[in-house]
Amino acid sequence: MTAFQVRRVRGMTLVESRRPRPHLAPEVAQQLPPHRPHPECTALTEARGALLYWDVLDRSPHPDAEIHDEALAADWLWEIYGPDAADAILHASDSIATEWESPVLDAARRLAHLRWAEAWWPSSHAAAIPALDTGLLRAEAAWRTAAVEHLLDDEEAVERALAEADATAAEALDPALGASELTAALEDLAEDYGVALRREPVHLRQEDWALAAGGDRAVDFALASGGAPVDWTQVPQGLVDAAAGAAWTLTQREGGLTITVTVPAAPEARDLHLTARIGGVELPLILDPETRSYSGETEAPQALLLLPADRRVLHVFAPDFSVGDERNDPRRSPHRAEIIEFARERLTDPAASLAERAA
Amino acid sequence: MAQTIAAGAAVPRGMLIADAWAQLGDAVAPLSNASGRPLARTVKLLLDPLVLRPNLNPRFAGGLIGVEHVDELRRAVSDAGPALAATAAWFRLLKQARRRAGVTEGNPQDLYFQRCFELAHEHGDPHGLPDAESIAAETVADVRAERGEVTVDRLRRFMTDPDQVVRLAGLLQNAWEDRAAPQPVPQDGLAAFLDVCATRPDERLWKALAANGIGTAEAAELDKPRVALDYGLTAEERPIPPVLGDRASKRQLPPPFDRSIMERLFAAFTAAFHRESMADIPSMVVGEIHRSAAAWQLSEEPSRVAMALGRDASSGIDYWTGPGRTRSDANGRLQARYSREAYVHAVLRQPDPESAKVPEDLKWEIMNVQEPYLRRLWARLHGRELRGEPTAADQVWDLLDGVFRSVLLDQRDRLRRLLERDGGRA
Repeated sequence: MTAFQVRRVRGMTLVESRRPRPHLAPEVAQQLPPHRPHPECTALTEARGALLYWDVLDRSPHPDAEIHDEALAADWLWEIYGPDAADAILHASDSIATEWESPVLDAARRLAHLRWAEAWWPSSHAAAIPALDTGLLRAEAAWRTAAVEHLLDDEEAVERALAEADATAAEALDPALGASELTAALEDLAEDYGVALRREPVHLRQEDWALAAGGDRAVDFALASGGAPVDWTQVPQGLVDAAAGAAWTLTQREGGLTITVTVPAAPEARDLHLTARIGGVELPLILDPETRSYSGETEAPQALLLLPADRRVLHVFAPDFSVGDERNDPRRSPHRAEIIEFARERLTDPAASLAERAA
Repeated sequence: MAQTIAAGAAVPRGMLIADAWAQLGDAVAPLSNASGRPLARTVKLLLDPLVLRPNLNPRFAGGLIGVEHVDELRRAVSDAGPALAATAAWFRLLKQARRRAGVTEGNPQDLYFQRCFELAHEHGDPHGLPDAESIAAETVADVRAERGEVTVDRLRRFMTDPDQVVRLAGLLQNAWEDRAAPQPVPQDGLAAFLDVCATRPDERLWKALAANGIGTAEAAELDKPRVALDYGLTAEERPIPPVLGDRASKRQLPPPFDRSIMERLFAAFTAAFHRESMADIPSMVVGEIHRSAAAWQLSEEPSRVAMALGRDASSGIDYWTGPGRTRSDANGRLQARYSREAYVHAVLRQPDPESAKVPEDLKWEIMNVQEPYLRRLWARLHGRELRGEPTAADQVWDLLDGVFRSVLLDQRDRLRRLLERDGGRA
């Protein structure tokens, strides 16, 4: 049984599983904007007239909803919450509870989860979380999209999803996991929607699952060193090891002071540049396939040595992806450890997506 | 899945349709999705326009159906059952014929659904019909000839025929020389309509806007320096007469007002369309020449009103700020959609639109979304004019919102693809 509060604010109807800010007066809490989970934990389906989101760490079968057009949402809301709960939501109840199960709810949730995995899967050598095959994730997403296309807020959702699915990844899947079912479904859909399926060369897995080399190499004349986690929102998925942190060392060399930054790479990382910023110094980091880490070094001003520790914080971002916003402090993201645990569970969960089970 | 319904209640339309649809069984499977629901296009192209017709039967419109109409709606779907089953059977045959003919272009649902419905009425169920396969093959060939290469080729030949070129160039010059300067009007009612179009579209107000020439009047400012440029409709300081043109390509079409006559017609041919509802090529070309010289470069007053409405509904929309002061309900709804989009970008871990990799033109379009919005709205309205599709009051919001959604989804696809060129695993 999932219980929800229902409230109406700014022209929206919000169906929320969590009570927003219990310490606030009810009339104030009532007016708060939607209580959305952190993007890193959010599995989202964009339906007609509403956003549906699951917090992946909650494991709830039913999503929260932000309904912005009740007339549109009325069409399908019953498929997600069941007819009685949907009726109550649309008729001004302030709470509902549901045990509704349906293939449509299941497909919507699976689709949302696949999109989450594509964005936030915490692949990591350090935590032994392998990379997922993006082509396979997207192939399954196309299949799930077709099962809920009647409630999505995109008339071309299936075509879009098919266009980015990789048929080769589906064909290369272990037959025991249902390769033929997925492939047949994709071929039917491709014909029904007039989309030519993409076939990419098969990517060979080169991972041997040794932990990343590197780490604490002894450096002569190290004057100072430190480390910091990398903010996930500042780098694309699959670049940086989700569980390891970035490390910096300040060394005295003949020419002067040198700062070196190392960031462990994710399994099957792409060769995209990173930028490190510390105490006003910026330096590019380049993937070194040998050490499986991004690293770089540059001359540093003497002043860096004198900075207090709280102003010598290392910040890493991908300039092709973000502008290096430092508002989020990744040290204050306790849910990241939970997400890594969640991913580990999924790898052995028979109800997980094909890409998770195949990894 | 039959539901019991309390008296006095209203029932979700989607639930009734799902229920009635399930009763039709496997015969309509080709028109259903994997969950057994009618496909989105089955609703859009078959059930709504041909079976339920909510425009004529307002009791079948909206998200909830009054309990007193429930049985009637169920009956309407079940009465159409044999025709829908035959439509589904024809669709299956047409897909086979398409495969045999090696046709891959276009979405078969868009291209064939309504054709199949016509075939179902003309011939009934294709099972046991001796020439069903040849009818299917002919239909596929017809549809193919009407769109794409054959039509574009005829258009090109007509427009590059030396005799025609001289005549058409003269027509174009005259049309632009004779342009009447539209007069602005002070009190126009656009905001009043934008306040209700999403919730209670007022047919009377909509008709009055067109009858009073508000769309034309609102075009007066387009000839002032930079106005059309700032709307993204031209790259020129102010609109200049288009050329006739002798080539066109799907990629990199210029802004609408800078498109040649050929490019305007070409763009409409290659979009999903129904050639049978269009005029013959010489009249289409002449019509396009006159259209280019008209207010908003559109020929129907309701389209011009829709451009003015779209302009006002999309003004001041900003990627970074949340919903602030809004000028109308429609404007607030579009702003709210853009705010949701920024959240969706964060959830999908898309690149920051201001990061180094994002090309300037995409960055510009995200920060000045009114420009791509008005360009696409114009193209939609232009296509509707060519197909002779009227726009009713209760379709205006779908159009204004649907165009915005389609602009945002394209931006999202472009952002997503940015990082994949660099050896992404996808």
